[in-house]
Amino acid sequence: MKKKKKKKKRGQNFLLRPGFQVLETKIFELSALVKNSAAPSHPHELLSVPTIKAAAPALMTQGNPPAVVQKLKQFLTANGMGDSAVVVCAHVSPKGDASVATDRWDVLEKVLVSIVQQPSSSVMSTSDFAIILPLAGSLLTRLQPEQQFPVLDIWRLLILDRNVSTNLTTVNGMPVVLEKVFIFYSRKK
Amino acid sequence: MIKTFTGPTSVATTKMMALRVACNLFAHTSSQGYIVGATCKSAIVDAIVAGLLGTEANVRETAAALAYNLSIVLPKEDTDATVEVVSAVQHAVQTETSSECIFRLLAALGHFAYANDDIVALLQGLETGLLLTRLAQDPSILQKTKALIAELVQLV
Repeated sequence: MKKKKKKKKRGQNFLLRPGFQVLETKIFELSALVKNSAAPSHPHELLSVPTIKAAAPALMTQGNPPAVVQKLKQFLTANGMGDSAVVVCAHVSPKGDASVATDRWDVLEKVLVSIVQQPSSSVMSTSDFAIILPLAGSLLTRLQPEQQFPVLDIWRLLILDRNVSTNLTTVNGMPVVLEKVFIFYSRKK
Repeated sequence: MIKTFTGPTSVATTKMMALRVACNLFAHTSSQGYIVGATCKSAIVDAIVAGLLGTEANVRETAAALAYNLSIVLPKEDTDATVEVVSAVQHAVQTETSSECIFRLLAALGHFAYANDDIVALLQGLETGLLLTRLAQDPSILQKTKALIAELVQLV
């Protein structure tokens, strides 16, 4: 009698074990695989096409941030925008405080270096974001389309950061920022 | 933004950089969702079509990368956008000379055609099979591209 009771207990415990759930999931996955092999949702699923099935986006991650930022500063100065750092950061420091503006350029450069070192990760902090988004956005709206090359080079790297991507598309409504840029140029057209 | 920079008055390097920004929008799922939204998607499609017709090799190469990225995230149900891009890509493959660019274009065609009968029918109508046979025999084609062509032949 005692032995019988033990057996019953073991059976109940087995169903409650965490491993059972893993096993159950595996069995479910395997049965789905077998089912799909027997009757695939599309005949292409039976073909061996590894290159086509691989789906990693082609990203443009290379860059030299100090050179990019320097190029942008030189470009702004060369195009008669005065002290580029102050002009571009006028929204941050309306009185034209050069030291404040220079700090912002430094933050931008530091963040871009981190992004190039770790593309597709999350390197930008909320405080950095609060500085860089207005700066980069200001540059986009201030320059003519044909002058945008160095600014776009910066945006190319910024957009690789997961925090920037998330912020731009959700928290701060990046679609709105991009559309504003688009509308700005559309009006000019 | 993309439409503006790919316009005829933009300089080639700026056009290329605008396309590179668009390519990197595919880095994360959050921005991918934005891309397949109506506003951005039509701008991206226009940029791909204009970029592939460009005279500068680096613009065409970046446009090919953008077409490839779009082929990964665009839902199969989005027939209009897919047909427009596939037609432009198919046309570009016929005239393209850059090996890397051809690889990206064919990879895009593969993604668009995979498990999509409408696109397979379109590619058959455009005689893609003949094009693939010709490319497979071309000695200048990269080995990885030849492997990709073999996969594409199975689809179309």
